[in-house]
Parts: sequence; C-alpha cells; structure tokens
Amino acid sequence: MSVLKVLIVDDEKELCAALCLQLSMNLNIDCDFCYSGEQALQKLNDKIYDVLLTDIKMPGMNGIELIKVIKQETHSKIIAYAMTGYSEYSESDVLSVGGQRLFHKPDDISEIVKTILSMTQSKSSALETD
Amino acid sequence: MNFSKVKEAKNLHWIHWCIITFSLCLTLFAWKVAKDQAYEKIKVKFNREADQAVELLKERMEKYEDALWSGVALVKTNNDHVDYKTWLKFSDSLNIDDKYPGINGIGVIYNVTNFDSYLKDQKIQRPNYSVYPKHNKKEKFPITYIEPIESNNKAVGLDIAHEKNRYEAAIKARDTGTAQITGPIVLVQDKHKTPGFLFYAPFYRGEAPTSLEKRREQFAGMVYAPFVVKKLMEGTLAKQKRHVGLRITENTNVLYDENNYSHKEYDPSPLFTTKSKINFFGREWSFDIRSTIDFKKSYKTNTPLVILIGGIFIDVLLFLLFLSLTRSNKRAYRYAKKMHKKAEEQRALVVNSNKLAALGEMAGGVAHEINNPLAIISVHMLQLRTLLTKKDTENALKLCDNIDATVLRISKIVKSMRKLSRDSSKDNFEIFYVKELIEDCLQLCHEKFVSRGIKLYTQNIDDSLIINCNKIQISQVMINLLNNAYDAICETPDPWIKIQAIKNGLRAEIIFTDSGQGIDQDIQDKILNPFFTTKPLGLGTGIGLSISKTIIENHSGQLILDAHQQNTSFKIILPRIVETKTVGVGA
Repeated sequence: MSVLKVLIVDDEKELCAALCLQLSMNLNIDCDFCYSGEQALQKLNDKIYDVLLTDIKMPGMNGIELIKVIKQETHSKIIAYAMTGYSEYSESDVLSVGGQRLFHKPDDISEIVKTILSMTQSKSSALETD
Repeated sequence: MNFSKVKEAKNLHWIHWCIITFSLCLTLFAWKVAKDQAYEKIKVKFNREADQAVELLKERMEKYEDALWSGVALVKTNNDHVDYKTWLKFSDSLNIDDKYPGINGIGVIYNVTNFDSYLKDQKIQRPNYSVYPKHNKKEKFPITYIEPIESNNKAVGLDIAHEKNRYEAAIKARDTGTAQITGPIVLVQDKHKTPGFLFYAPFYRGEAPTSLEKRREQFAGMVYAPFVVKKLMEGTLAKQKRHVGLRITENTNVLYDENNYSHKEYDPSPLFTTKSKINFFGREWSFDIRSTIDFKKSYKTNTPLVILIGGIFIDVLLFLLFLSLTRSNKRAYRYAKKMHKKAEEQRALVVNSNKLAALGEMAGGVAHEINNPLAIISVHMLQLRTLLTKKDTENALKLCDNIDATVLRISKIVKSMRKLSRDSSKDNFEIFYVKELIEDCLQLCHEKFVSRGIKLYTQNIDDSLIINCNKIQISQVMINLLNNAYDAICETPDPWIKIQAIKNGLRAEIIFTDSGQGIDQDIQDKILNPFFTTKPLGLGTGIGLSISKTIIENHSGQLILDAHQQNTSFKIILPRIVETKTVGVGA
C-alpha cells in the first residue's frame, strides 16, 4: 500500500503542527510541515510530495507565488491546495496558477482533512488497478 | 484658522465714524474757507464800487468847478463885466447837456453896490428884468444871467442874499476866493421841490486880491451853477453800472437817497454797508453806501454752497458705503458661520468614516489574526473527537487547555478592536503611559505588518513617559501613521517601521520612522492638508493626516513631518505629565 506524502506550509506554527498530527493519525499519510514558501521549496527539492497544502498570507513568498513557482517552473504533478484566513486572493487566482482549490480557515478545516483522507483511498485503488 | 477669533461686525466700526466725522469736518472747513474767500472777494468789489461812486462824484464836481472858473475867466477878459449876449454865447459853447450832464445851468450873479444903476443897465437889454425878493441885508446878489433860460426862467432876478444858505455860501466864496457850494436848498426853478444846491466861483475887480479886506472890497460877483441833486446823481453816475445805493446827507438834511423802498434795487438787508464823510467845496457830505439787490445777484456765488452740499452728499455716500460694507460683513460672517458649522459637521462625519476606513484596512489583518486561531481550534476539535472516541481522556483534557489558550488569544484581538471602534469624541482626557498606547496599537496592527514581511521595531520607548489624552483618538492617529507607512513601503524590498517614544524637555515625542526615502520637497508643505493624497485613486481619501493633525492640535500638540531624517519620519509631539505622584494611570 502506497503512502500519500503531504506537505503543509503555514506561518501559524500551532496550526501546522495540529493539522499534521490530525492527518498523521491515518497510517497512509506521511505528513511534513514548514513555516514559509522558501522552506517549502527546499523540502520539495529534497523529497517528492503528492499533495501541497499552503497558507496564502505568509511573510516573504506567499502561497499563490509558491504554487506558481512549483507548477510553472518545476512542472511538478503535485496537487496544490491553498488555504487562507483572509486574503485579497480568490479561488480563481489559485486555479489560474495551477492550484486545485482554495479552502477557508476555519470553516473548511474538516473539509481539508476529509479531502486529503479521501485521496489516500483513491490513490490506493488506483495503484491496485495498476 | 480659528473661527472663534473672528468677530461679527455689530454696527459701524469706530474707524468708520472717525472717517465720516473727519470728512464732515473737512467739508465744513472747505465750506467756511470758500465762503470767507467769496465774502472777501465781493467785499473788495463793494469797496471798489463804493469808492468809485464817490470818486466819480468828486471828479464831476471838479469838472463843473472848471466850467465855473472858465466863466470867471470870460468875465475877467471882458473887464470884469459881461453882457447877456456874450454870456449866451459862452453857455452855448459849453454844450451843457452833453458835456456837463447833471448841471442845471450856468449863470452870473453880480455883487450889486448901486442897485438903481444896475437895474437900469439890465432893463436896456431885458425890459422885464426885475430883482426879487426884497430883504434887509445890505448885500445884493441878484442872479443876472442863467442859461439855458428855459429851465431856469424863475431864477432870473432872484437875489440870493435873501436866503441864509445861499447867502452864507456866497459870503464864504467872496471871503476865501474859492469855489463853494451852498447848504441844501430847493431851487426856485425845480417844480418837484427836491433838494439842490448852488455852486459858486467868485470873481473880483482888477488885480487878484491878496487879503480878505481886498477880496471884500474888490468882490464883483460870482459865476454859479444850480444843481438839483437828483439830476446831478442821474447825470453823474450811470446807475445801471453800479451795484451800490447811495444816500448823501449834510448834517440832518438828506440830499439824495437811494436807500429806501422807492428804489427798486434797494436791499433792506444789504450784504455790505459803508459810511464816509467828504469835505465838498466847503460842505461836509456824508455818504451812506449800501449794496443793492443787484449786487447780491451779480456777485453772489454758489461755490461755497456747492462745496457744502457736495461734501455732505459725499459724506452720506460714505456713510451708506460703510453701512453696506458692515452689512456685507455681517452677511459674510453669518454665511461663514453657517459654513463653518456645516464644515464641522462634515468633519465629524469624515473623522468617523475615516475611522471606519482605517478599521476596514485593519479588518484583513484582524480576520487573518482571528481565523488562524479559529482554524487551530477547529483542528483541535477534530482531534478531540478522535480522542474521545478512543476514550483517551488525559490527552483530550490537554487538548482542551490548548483550545482555551487559543480562545484567549482571539478574545484579546476582539477587545483591542472594541476599544478603537467606539465613538470617542465625548471621552474625557485621561492620563496614560505612552508605552501602553503603543502596545495597544501594535496588538491590532502587528499581524497585518508581519504578514507582509514588514519588520516592526520599538526602540527607546521611555517607560515613564505619561501624557494626558483621549486614548482612542491618539491611537487612531498612531494607526493612521502606521497604515500610511504600510501603504508606502509594503511593495518595497526589506521594509521596516521603527517606533520611538522619548522625553524632550516638557514634551513627549512619539516618532514613527519607516524605510521609505522621505517625502518629496515640493509636497512636504501640503502633506498635512485635507484631501491631499499621494495614494492611487480610490485608495486614499487624503484626510487621514489632516484629521490626525487636528486631533494632535486639540491635544495642544503638534504633528510634524521631520524632513531632516533620511527616512520618512513623522513626529507626534505632546505635552507630557511631569509630576508622577499625581498620576492615576488609566486602563
């Protein structure tokens, strides 16, 4: 059984940790987290991830820029999600740079967990059919 | 501009009254001077005319005297005796009517010593000649000839010694050898019985006598001319050329009088009068000269009156002008007051809306700040559910503590917002630590700045610095300055903001410096003006700084742009509280 590799990026350290802990309860998920776009790029260089979940408003590089860099410069097949507490960016901005979806904090927290969990099932079934 | 210092004009200002009074005085002065000058001018004219009248009369009389002396010369060239025909020729040659207007005639009076012989001689040429009236005096001075005879017929043969005035003047002429005139008499030939006089020039037999005795001895007679004064005056003084009326008196006898109502030019209230006495061939004549109505008409000038009326008219205009100015001022003041009130209301609205705008700007940061802990809670809730399902009470309780801490974090943000969002205009001033004010502001802004990578430094914050202020208003000013800095530097590389609070004498200075490169020289003066903005259209109202300035000025302080710094630097200067023992620091 394959493991879904997830990278969470948010400058809100406590949220990163809590979210990662929650996802890691599922044994099919391998979750890492970091606190800025720059750190994320470093991690993506070192390891191949299946899913990226990034906050938008962060010091330095913001989430949209991060997705843009990953998608347009490295042509990565990673599935990129963005989340925000409040920002001037909308879902269309996320889609336009190659992102999959925009989640809103705190309303969509359960939705985020559900979405990523569902991906573990689809990934394993896809592998089985292979 | 402080409108309360502007006063409404009540009525005319004292300066207006001064100007009007001065102008009125000037008018009266000009009127008086013009009047005096006009008076002096016409007085000179009157005096000249009065003198002229008398001089003319004198001149005439001298001319008549010359005529008499020429008669005397005729007699002397005819051996002290002239016959009727010769006299007739002489009088004709004089051309009396043309050359001597005013004279009634010219004649000869002999000093008759042998009356019978005289009468006989006369009757040879003039059989009807007789001498009258009879009198007791030893001298006999009968009028022998008088020409033209037509108007003097009654006088022929009149012995002038019969009457006192005629006689006395004749004696005086004889004794002095000079021309003399009689006192007032009525000529026998004057039908109107008006005053008249006779004018004598004596002649003597033989050589000219040198003493009184010889004169009396050699006295042969007199050449004489009768005058009716009225006729004399009419002939002498062409009335139409004069603007003065004459009254000639000798003692109490009136010789001639124009100064009464029978003369149409008589002026009962003359502008000028003058009196003079002149010795006239042995008589003293008094001249009473008055200006006539014609004088008033000819010389009366309207200039002083025009000056007076013109001046008063200008004064009235001046008064009306000042009144109109005062009214305009009143209207302008009321309008300005109305507008000022309106502007104050607008300003209050703007302050409020600006506050809302500032809050709106913060809302993003605040939402971010609140949503993040909410998200944490949300994740914790998921974990809690899992733990409860597993009945892992111990970890579940730990998680609850985490949730409590996060809730507290949210609560702090909400409290800061509430503090700033309520209407503070009615708040009283209270005493606060500057440090506390800065910390409260940063609580609210911190997230917004940090999330954009703007570094916030607090430096040299003096812990003991205390000011008396409306906390919310001062916080609004600080947030406004921070927001401006944010807008200016958020897109620049390596942005930072530095906040300092220092003591400077009796003042507290709160300094906001950002990484921007200062404000352009040409807009430095305008930057604190209302509606001046450098932000793109729609992003700035241009009122934040001007309202901030007003707020600080209402705190007896100053908001200044420190142009001497390399970076953009705004300074809030406020009076600080010095006596720490009385401080009851507000929350």
